[in-house]
Amino acid sequence: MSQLKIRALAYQELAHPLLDPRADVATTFETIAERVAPAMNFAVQTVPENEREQIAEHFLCSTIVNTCFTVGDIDWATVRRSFESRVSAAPETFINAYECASWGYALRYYFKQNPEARYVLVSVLDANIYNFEFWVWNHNWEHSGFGCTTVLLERTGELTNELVTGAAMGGNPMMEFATALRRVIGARKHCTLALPFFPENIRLMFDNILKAFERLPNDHPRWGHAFGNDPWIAIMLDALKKGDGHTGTYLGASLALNGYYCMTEVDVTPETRLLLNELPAAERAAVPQKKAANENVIVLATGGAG
Amino acid sequence: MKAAAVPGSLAARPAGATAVRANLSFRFHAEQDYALYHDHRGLGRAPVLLDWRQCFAFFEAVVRAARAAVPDLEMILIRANGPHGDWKIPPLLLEESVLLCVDPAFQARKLERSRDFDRFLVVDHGIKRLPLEKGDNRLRLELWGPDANEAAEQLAALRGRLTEYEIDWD
Repeated sequence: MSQLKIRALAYQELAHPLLDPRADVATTFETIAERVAPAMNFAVQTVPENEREQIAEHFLCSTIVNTCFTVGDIDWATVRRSFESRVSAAPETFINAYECASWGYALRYYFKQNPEARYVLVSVLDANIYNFEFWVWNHNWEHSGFGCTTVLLERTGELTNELVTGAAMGGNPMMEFATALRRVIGARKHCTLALPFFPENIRLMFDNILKAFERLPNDHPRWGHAFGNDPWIAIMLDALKKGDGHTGTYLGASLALNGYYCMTEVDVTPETRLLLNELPAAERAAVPQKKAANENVIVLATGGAG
Repeated sequence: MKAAAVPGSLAARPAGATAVRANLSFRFHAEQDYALYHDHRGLGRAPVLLDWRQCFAFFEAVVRAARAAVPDLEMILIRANGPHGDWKIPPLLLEESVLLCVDPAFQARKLERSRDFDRFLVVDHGIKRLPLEKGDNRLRLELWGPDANEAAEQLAALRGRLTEYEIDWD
C-alpha cells in the first residue's frame, strides 16, 4: 500500500497536427488549453469544493514543449493565462528540464517543500507545437503519441519511499534504468510495473530483466511513446479494464532520453475517478514509414573560441 | 521574508574555451522543420558566450558558491528549459535541493507566500546558448532569507566566489 492515492486520473489525447504548422504559437496554446481544460477540471472537481484550497500546486510538465520558450515565441506567463481562464487550480509551475522524468522531479520538489501537503496536481503535456517531424517518429522510440495526463494525488500518510528519482549517466540508459527498476521493485513485489511504451525490441529487454515482476501491457502500437504520459495511460487502461471497484498498487516509471528517470508507487482505489478522452484514429498522428539512419542533420556552430 | 538581489551580465566567454558543436537535441527532417530555423535566424543580437555544457558548468559553480556562502540554504531555483542539446544535466544540478524550472521568479513568489523555506536562492538569466535561442546574457541572483542585510552580505560573498567568470555586475 502506498501513501499516495490517485484521486483522479484523466488523459486527453491531442490531434496531430494540432493546427496549421505555421499557426501563431499563442493561438496554439489557446487551443491546447481549451482542449485539455475539461480533463483538468474533471480532476479538480473530484475534491469537494470546501477542500479545493488544499490543492496548493499544479505542475505542468513536458518533454517536447520547449522550443517555443527557447526561441522566444511565447513565455510561460502567457501560457499560464490561457489555462487560468479555463481551469480552476490551473497549472502555475512549468517543468521540462528533466524531459520525460519531469513529473517525478516536480513531485520530489513539492513534497520536500511541503511534506504535509494533502493534494497535488500534476499534468504532463506533450503536444507538437511546431509539428517537428522528429517528435512524430524517430529511431529512439519510433512513433510518438500526443496528449495530456492530469493526475490528482492525495497523500494519506507520511511518505517514505513512494518517490524515486535518479539518472542513468552511463552509455546505456535503457539498461541502467531497467536495472534500477529491478532493484526498486525487488523490495516491493506487491506493485505492478507501469513502464514507458517502447517499440517491441526495447520492451523485450525490459521483459527479460523484469520477468519476475508483474508488468502492464506495452501498448506502443496504439499510443506510441507518449513521453511522461505512458505510465499514467497504462495505469488508466488497467483500472478501466478492472471496472467498478478497481484497486491496484503500481510502480509508475518514466525515463528521459538523457537518462533521468523517476518512479512512484501509487494506489488506485475504488474511489479513483478516471477519464479517458481518446481521439478517432483519423485525428491521431499518421505513423510514418521507418526512415534510413542518415537523415539530414543541421549543426549550428556556436563559435566558442577563447 | 526579505530578499537581496544582484543583477549583471555575462561579459565574455570563459578563458580557454574552444569551438563546440551547438548540438540541437533533435534533428531536422522536413521542410517545415527548417522553416523554424529560417523564421528565427539572427534571433537577437546577443553573442553566444556559453554553450550548454559551459552553461551547466556555470550553474554548478553558482550552486557551489551559494552553498559555501550561505549556510542553511535550503533550495536553489534555476531557470532551465530544454532542449539541452546532447548534454546531460550534471549530477549536482539533479540534487534534491535544486529545482530547474521555466519561471523561477514566479516560483519564488509562491515560496515567499508559502514560507515553506527560510532561505532560498533564485538564479534567473537570459543566457544564450545557441544562435537559435532568444537571450540577452543577463543574469540575476536573488537570495531570500529572514534578514535583508544578511542576505545582501551573503550574496556579495557568493559573487566573490564566481571570479572565474567575467560578469559585469550592475
